[in-house]
Amino acid sequence: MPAYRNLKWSRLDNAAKIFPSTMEKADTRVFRFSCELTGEVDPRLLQQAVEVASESFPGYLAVMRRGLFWYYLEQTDLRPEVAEEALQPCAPLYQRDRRTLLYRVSYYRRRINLEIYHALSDGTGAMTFLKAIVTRYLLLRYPESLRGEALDWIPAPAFEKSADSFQKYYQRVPHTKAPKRPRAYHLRGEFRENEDLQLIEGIASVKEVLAAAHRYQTTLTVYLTAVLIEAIHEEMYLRDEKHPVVIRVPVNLRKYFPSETAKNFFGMIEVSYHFRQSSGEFTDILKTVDETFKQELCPERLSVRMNQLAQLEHNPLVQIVPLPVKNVVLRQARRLSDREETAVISNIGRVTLPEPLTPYVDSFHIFASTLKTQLCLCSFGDRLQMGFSSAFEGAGLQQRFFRRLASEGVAITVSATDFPLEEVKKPPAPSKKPARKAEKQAANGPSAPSGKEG
Amino acid sequence: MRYCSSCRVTVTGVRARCPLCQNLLTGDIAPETEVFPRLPAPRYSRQLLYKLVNLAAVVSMVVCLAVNWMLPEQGAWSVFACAGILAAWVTTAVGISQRRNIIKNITWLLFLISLLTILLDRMIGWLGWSLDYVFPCLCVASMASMIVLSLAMHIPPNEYLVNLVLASAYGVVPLVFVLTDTVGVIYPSVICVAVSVIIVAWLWIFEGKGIRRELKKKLHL
Repeated sequence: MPAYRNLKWSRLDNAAKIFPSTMEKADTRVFRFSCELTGEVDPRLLQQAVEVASESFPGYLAVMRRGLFWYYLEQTDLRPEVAEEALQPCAPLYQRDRRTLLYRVSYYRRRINLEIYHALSDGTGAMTFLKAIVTRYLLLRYPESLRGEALDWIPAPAFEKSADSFQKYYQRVPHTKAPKRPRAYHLRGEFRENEDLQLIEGIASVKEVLAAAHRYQTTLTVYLTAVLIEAIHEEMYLRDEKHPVVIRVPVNLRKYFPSETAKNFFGMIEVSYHFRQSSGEFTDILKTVDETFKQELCPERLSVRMNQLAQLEHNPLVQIVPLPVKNVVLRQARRLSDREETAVISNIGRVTLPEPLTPYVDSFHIFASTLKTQLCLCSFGDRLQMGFSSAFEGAGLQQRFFRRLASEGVAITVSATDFPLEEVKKPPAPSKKPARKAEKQAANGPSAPSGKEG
Repeated sequence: MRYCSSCRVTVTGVRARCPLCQNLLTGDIAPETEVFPRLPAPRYSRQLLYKLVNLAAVVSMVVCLAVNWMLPEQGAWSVFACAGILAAWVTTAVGISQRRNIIKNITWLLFLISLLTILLDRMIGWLGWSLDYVFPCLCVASMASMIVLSLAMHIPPNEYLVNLVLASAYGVVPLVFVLTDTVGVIYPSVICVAVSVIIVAWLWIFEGKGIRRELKKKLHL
């Protein structure tokens, strides 16, 4: 029997249905999760690790195809191939009529990058996958020291991972007319010429940032959201203050509705601060953010929003519209919805790995493609990563954000993808030569983590 | 590592200037701390073919109209020329936009070219050649090229089946023309209908289950 008859396929989940239709050149709907190790990455072992890990996530071994009414995922024989990082950050993964996997694994020096298309999964799913890859890689890389440790990844059963939790928790909600929401303040600035993303990240000590947050009797997320709002305020013209600053915050719904799905299962809440109607004091921003978080982050509120979105998908009139028309409509809907948003802040939270692995891992890093500016947060051990991805030239907002933290006594290490022209013309740094790199890799040996700022 | 005294942050890698404020950095360079590779700027010349086709179409239409305007004694031939150019333009544009999926491309072009030739035939006084010869020949050629290409290029059945079903269903349409006496010469049409019916039967007998599954995927709500 020809294999094609038995190819598994699945519908996109409720959130994923939006992504392919609203993909744009600048916003590829791809996000990047990286893990920085303490030693340089061995590509051969990484390839082996990825091959093993990918079989534990069969739902991700899929290509996306177009139906008459919706996109869908179809099982494929394609397997991931590890390559040294050579593409722009969050480069497109889905292209029409091109059969490609919807994730890619690359490496650069000590970093393993997993880039994944949002229609496949959300941050939680991606992080689970990356952790599986890293675990597998470290087991191959340091077999002696990790022998006997019970580290083998035990992911949830396949059917649980491929469950659509939006469907599971869907229930019709009475129709309520949503109040008209005002246009939010939009960051000013030139879009980047190549329509690619600019990544700037700061690494800080969790303890130091927490200490700063505790000085204001608040939590880390609330504190950093308030710092971002304040940094945005400093960028605003006086006349812009008639618009509120609206920060969208994706929320992992698995925390509120039990689920082990590896597909999308997230919702959005909004924090809005109106500088003309409020004092603009930092403590007042903190208070507003804190109150909004407390009010919005409860199963009842999240469920209402979740069901409103799902209701659209369950509407028979929406269902029978052909895909090309849906694409146009959804793109317009996205434009409208984007008007109500200033920036996105996405907190993945604390990443944990089994204890024996932690000496080999330095930090985790997250970035997401955007048409505006997005801040992603995650922490591993004492290392907090604050990753800005931006569609704009320049780094005014990022500068204000990090300066503010520095003024609170937080030591920050900054890295960026942009290399100004004058620097590119310089001869490459000696360690970039392959020969030296190989030497270094050899010298780095299994139990010699290179000491990065201690 | 390098340090920016105005932002008060440490900066990784070998860069000379702070990525936040562009001020010069102080301190020792630490190449081993670089976390992002230097990549060449992405190139965006992808749409070049499209642009060339568009320009060629505009230029040829403008030249036709201009020459016709200067030499009006030949009659309004440029209108027909422009119609032909427009038809070719649309066909080429569709062909380019669907270039990555050759089988789907054939389906699209089959529908498009058959309708455009009927339109053109009507425009220049309905001689009937579009239905007599072009329509049935196009259908047979499409089905044949789909089968040959998918065999030669090892295209999996789930990529061509639905297209072949569509093309062979379309190939039965000339039966209507024959029965309603719309066509003058019936041989091409009858051959086309016969070939189409045979292909439909073959598909149904051998690939019926696969087609039903494929249609279920394509049509899921």
